[in-house]
Formats: sequence, C-alpha cells, structure tokens
Amino acid sequence: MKRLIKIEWLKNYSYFPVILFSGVYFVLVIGFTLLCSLKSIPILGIAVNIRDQGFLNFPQIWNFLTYISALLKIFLGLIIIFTISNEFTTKMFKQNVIDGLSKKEYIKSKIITIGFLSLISTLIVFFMGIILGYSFSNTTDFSSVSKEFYFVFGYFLKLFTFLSFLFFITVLIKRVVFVFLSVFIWWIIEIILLVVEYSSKVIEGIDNQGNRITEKPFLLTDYLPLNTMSNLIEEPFQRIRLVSQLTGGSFEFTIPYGAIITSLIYSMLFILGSYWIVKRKDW
Amino acid sequence: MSVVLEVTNLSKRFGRIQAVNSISFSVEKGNVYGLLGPNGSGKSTTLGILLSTINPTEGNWSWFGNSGTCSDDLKRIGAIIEHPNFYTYLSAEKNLKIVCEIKGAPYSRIDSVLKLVGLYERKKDRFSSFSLGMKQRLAIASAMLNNPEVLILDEPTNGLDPEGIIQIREIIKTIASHGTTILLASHLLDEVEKVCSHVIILKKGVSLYCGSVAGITAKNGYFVLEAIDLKSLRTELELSGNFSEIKEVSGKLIAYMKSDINASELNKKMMVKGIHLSHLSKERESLEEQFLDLLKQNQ
Repeated sequence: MKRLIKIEWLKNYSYFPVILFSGVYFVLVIGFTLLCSLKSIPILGIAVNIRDQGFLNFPQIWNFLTYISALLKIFLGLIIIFTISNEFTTKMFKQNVIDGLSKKEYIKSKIITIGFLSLISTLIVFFMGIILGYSFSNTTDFSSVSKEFYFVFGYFLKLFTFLSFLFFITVLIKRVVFVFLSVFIWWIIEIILLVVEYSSKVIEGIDNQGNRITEKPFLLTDYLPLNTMSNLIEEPFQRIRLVSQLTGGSFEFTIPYGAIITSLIYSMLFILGSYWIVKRKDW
Repeated sequence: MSVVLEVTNLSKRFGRIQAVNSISFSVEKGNVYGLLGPNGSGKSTTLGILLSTINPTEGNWSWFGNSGTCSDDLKRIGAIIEHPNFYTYLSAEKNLKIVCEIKGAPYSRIDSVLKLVGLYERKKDRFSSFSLGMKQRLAIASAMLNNPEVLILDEPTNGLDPEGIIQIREIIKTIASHGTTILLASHLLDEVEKVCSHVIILKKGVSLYCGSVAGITAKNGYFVLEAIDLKSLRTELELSGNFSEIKEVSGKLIAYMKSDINASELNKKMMVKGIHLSHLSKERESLEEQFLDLLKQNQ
C-alpha cells in the first residue's frame, strides 16, 4: 500500500496536467466559497443573495454545497483521464508491468488515486460547509448540522463512481480526445433514454382542486451510470423554494438508497472491468 | 549448469496469424543468448509472453523453476523492450526512482547504474531532452537497478548511430563479463556474433535451432585454394575423397571438408603431388551464412 502510494506520487506530482487541473479546481472551489459569503452576487444583472435565500442554512447547506461542488468534478476527472491516457499511449503501463508491477497492483494504485482525489475533495466540501454554515446559518444546533450529513458521504460516492467511470473509459479507449467524445456521447444517450422512458410512463392528471399533478414513475433509466450518480445528490433549488415559501411549505429529505446501491455496484464493475481489460489484452 | 528459463511448446495466435508456433528452448545461467530471426519471426511476441505483457494461446514456461511469470520473478529480470519507455516529463533520476519503488531496489543503486551507462552527469535532466542513444542507455541503467540475474534486450541498437551501437555493445559486454545471463533479440547477425555464445533461431514463429554458436551447423568449414594449374588441383582434391563439394569461384577453388583437415597437412599432400599452392586458407562459415543456410533448409 505504502509502496503503491509512493509510486503514484512519484509518477504524478510533477505532471503538468495534474498541477494545472488541481490548481484550477482549488481556485474555483475557494472562489466559490468566497462568492457565497458575499452579501449579494450579481448574476445576469440581478443581485442574488445566497445567504438570504436560505442556501447556507443547516441542514440544506450540505445539499447545496455538494451539488454545486460536484459540478466541478470534471477537473478531477481530467486528472484521471490525462494521467491514465498518458500511461497507456506512452507504453508506460507495459513498462511498469515488465519492471515488476503486477496488473493487479497497477489497478490498486489507481483506486488509491481515485479514492485520494475523492477524499480530498470531500474534505474540502466538508470544511466549506462547516465554515459557511457556522458563519451564516440561522441555526447551528448539532442536530440540524448533522441531520443531512448523508450529502457528504453521497458526494464522496458520487466522485468515486464518476472517477471510476472515467478510469474505465480511459483504459478502454486510451486516447484523451476519444475518451471525451465517448463520455459526451454516453451522456447524451442517457439523457435521451431517460426522456423517452419518462414520456412513455409519466401519468399526468388533474386533482380534485383542479391543479395539474404529475406523478414521478419508476424509471429503469434512473439506474444508468450517470443518471444514478446524479440521483445521489438531488438539485437543491426545488426544496429551498419549497421551504422558503411564505405559505410554509416543508421538505422532508429521504436518503436515495437505490442510487447508493447502484453507484456502489457501478464503481465495482468499472474497476473490475478495467482489471479485466488490462489482464486480457496483449500489450 | 542451472536453467534460468525453460520454454515448452509456446504458441501465440493473433487472429489468423500464428505469431509463435510451439517453440521450445531453454536458457542456462551465465550464457549470452542471441534470439535471432528475421522481422516478424515472433521474437518480440515471445519476449512479451515471457514478460507477462502478452497472453499466450498455449504452452508453458518457467522462470527460475517457477511456472509462468509472476511479478516477483520480474523483479529478478531486467528487460528492455523495443523503444525505451520512460515518463517524458520526469528527470532520469525520478524515472529511476519509480523503477526502484516497483522493483524494491534501494535508491542508492541509481547513481551506480547511471555511472555504468555514462549518464551520471545528466541525471537531473528531463528524459525528453535525451538523444535516442542516451534513452537506450538509460533503459539499460533502469534494467540493471535490481542487479538482475537475467537481462533481456530486444533490438537494443535499433535506430542508433555507429557510436551509439558501439557504446551499447560495450555496456552489454561489461554486464556479460559479470556473469549476468543475457537474452538478446536481434535481426543483426554480426551483433549477435560479436556478443553471444549461444543462439536461438526463430523463423515464422518456429524455433529452428537452440544451442551454442559454434554448434549451429555440423559443417567443418572449407578451404580456399589457388594454384597455377587449377584443373589438376581440382582433380587431386576430388581424388583425396576428403571433400564433399568443390566449386570454382573467381579463379579460386572452394572445397568443403567432410571432416576436419589440417591446412599444413593438405599443403604437404599437394606438394607431394607436385602442385604448388599460391593461396591456401581455411575458413569457417560466418554466422550469417550459417543462419541463411538454416533458413533456406527450412523453406
């Protein structure tokens, strides 16, 4: 384990894309944190006050921060894509194996890197939540702080699954450009499938007060890899609108067990799949 | 002598192409082996299988008596395959640190292997700034980090200039003199002849020969003779019954021996018969001729 960490460190710490993308990632995360602490943020000419909207109140701050931070996960993804692609296109993987790094150890070392990136990012989000929450939340009693702690875990799982997904695609396809293209196409395919399934299953009706109601049906396409990852952390704007309504709307958060289980299964499949490719192919 | 590597009936098929066809050979400790064969004869594929980067279709092999190739065995082997592969953005030293971690060698080895290949002064320079010859030497340094028992070199002088080729050869000879077993794949016959004691000859994935360079053919060599009266020289040689074949090439006779004959004895015999030789030399076929012969026989 220590040996693999050392190998990964030596390989990556002075690789330009690693420095670039982790730098960009940190700048954006810190910039975003500072932005949240401002009284008003001018968005498209309208002054938006994140604090007054209740985004920074416990417990929904966890939902908000993990959702927004997850949008930046592509920069961590780029680190994975560039380093893995580099190792396969320059035959360094083959050389590592010849030098005596077993294929299993190679995969393990990449799991370590994926886990490390996910963990660091999760810790950043956690401290952002603590700092912003304790500075601006209307309540800071422990039960509201810890109530939706799930989001921090969900965020870690989301990153881990996403990076495993990119790892698998990169091992499969190798060239950076083609990896981008296939991930993009895959994303579009999932959206199309989701829309098609949704529109064929959705039931719309009018309730006895004359309001339109739509019932969200059970969707198989919700369990496709990218959809499942996005279901780990629902978008926070709906609930905040509900909670902040003067009419006194309420929102009860439920843990998405289905998405957690499928994400875990996908991470495992992506890693095992990568191992299978690495083992079966002739290098 | 102990056997370092034993290969039995190894085969590899890439789709319709049979790259390696049931080859068998063994490598003994301390010898320098040349793995010979024209391009596409399966040399690199064979080495790839033995180094666990290619999965064989069939066959068995064992390193140091352990079946197959496990990563612990690989740590006792130093190998250079085709082009030297390193992280281009790292210095020579940092690249070797990674290899040290993989092989479990101490960092203190780095300086000594860099000195062995004459790159010590360049250790802080990025790999991407190296010339091809330097890259190849760094690859040898990397392979030597763990004091390997076996060194595998696949076309180590490919693409190098004459100076680079000589440098690599000198390094190989130095390493061989320390008793390291070497397996050198090449299609350059004079290269193999200069450094190897044993050869394994492959053709279209089949092994034609495995043994010492001297024993590659049963032929005893030949005489090149010249005399004023070439006709009677030829008659006398034919009458002696010692030669399997006599042919005339540009005013000289080439006589292939059936069994080994001493040159001075032959000279004396001819003298007795009243034939005065103006040229007499005893020669052996070069590895190249023997190799081409062997390929022809197995057409």
